[in-house]
Amino acid sequence: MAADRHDPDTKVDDDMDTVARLIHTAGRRAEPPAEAFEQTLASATDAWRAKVHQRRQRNLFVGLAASLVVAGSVAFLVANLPPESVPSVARADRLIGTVEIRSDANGGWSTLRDETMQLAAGSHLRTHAGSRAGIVLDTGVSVRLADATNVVLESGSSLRLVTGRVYLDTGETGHVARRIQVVTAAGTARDVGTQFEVLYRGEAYRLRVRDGRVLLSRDAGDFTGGAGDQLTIDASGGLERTRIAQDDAEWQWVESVAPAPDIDEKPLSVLLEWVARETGRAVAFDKPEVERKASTTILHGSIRNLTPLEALSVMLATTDLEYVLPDDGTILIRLKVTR
Amino acid sequence: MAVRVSDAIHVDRALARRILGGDETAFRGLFDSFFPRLYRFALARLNGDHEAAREVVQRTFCKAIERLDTYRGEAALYTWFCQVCRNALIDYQRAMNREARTVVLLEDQPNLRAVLEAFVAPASAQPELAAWQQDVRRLVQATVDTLPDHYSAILEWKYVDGRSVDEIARQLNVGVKAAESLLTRARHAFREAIMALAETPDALRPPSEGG
Repeated sequence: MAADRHDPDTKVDDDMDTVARLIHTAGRRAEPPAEAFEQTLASATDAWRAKVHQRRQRNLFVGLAASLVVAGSVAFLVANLPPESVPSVARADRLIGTVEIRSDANGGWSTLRDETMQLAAGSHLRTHAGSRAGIVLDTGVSVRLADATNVVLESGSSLRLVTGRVYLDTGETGHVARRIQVVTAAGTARDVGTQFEVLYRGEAYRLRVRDGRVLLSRDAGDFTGGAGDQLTIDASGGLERTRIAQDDAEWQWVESVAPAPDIDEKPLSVLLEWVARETGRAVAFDKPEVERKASTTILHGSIRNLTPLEALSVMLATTDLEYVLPDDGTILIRLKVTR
Repeated sequence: MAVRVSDAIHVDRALARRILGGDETAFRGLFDSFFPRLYRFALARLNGDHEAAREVVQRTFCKAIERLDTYRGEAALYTWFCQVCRNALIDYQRAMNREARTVVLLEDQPNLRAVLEAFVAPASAQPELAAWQQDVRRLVQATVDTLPDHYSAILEWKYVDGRSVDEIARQLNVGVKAAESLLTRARHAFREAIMALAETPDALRPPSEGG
């Protein structure tokens, strides 16, 4: 982004760059009338419901027609039929220890071994003690399961936490497709573009927001948690709000099952951005020269199965750069000190 | 880092699948995001006729949802909705027995670089130039409309409202560095979007330059 450097707090004056001046001169976009919004929403909702209904009917019809065509073979095939085909909404990405899956509440558990396995809506997943799992939804949302956790993947936008601890990273794009909720008996957490963790075990419920905002809906009302908030509900239903830093050691467990980006043929800055997001530490550069190097140094290879800081060490080993972790909560990139 | 187009389209395909699967959160999210942008898109092409814009956008949503299972991710979903809206505009004008009097907009014309440079000059007293500047103003807003919602919001907060990065960080409940980073990506996305329009030849220049 070296070509786009600017002072973010430059005042609205003649010194502003072209982008700033264009947007400033154009002014704020006008909002459509509320009445038009409501009327169009009503029509669009009707059209959408009709479409969904039509597709379900069509699928049912196709299923019936197909079953008639193959009726003669059913008796032979029925014993060998695969499970009902349900569209996948996610895939496994990182599995550590013992992770099990079952297709529905009545099925038997089987060990999940394939780190690329497609996961259907309705899948139940559980991790054993000392195990962890990382899955990636079709929308790109990263879901990470701590040990002794049991979840149901209800859909691409809803996860039911039966017990245990989950961490979600919906990315920074703010795309509507990435909105997701974590449902528990104690409340439902809905993200607004963020990284957050939900713990639910017995009567204990805790929501930690690392970045962005999360809306917690309970019978007692709605609460919003911002970055650094930790909301805890005790056995009597009381809610306590405390703070947790973005780089607190309590977040470290999620790094081991973080989905690794493809960094082959990419600039070092791509890796740094990922490491910063996963560790909660901002990247700082020792000198402008080092920042330029980060944007022009091209990486090769894969960082799969490495934690963010391990990946950074491995990739920097082949360059004349290194990193240190100062007390100010940053990752400082600097030229290697020659001895 | 700007969102890669291939990633955005992958996400858009997933969004379309979820909407078709009956996911109300996904449907409502798309409507909330697309409605204001499509409304402005249509309004600009209907000479500011609000009633007509409402009708066209209503038809656009109904038609697009009806045909959503044909969306294959060839373009971003919003771009695909815009194409459906263009067709709805043509149908509307035919149905109203209006002469096919297409409103020619700057973004539908080639080359904008010179236009943009002249636009930020002080407002002109000449009526022709003033009208032209109004067109470009709307073009810049239309370009902002093509960006993801959080990018367009942060650009307006910063450069229209004049809010500081600190204030924006508080508004978003994020750290200052995260807000700076988001602003940088939003600026980059805007620059790419508007310069993509400017890359074609045949300069369109302000009236004072004999265009």
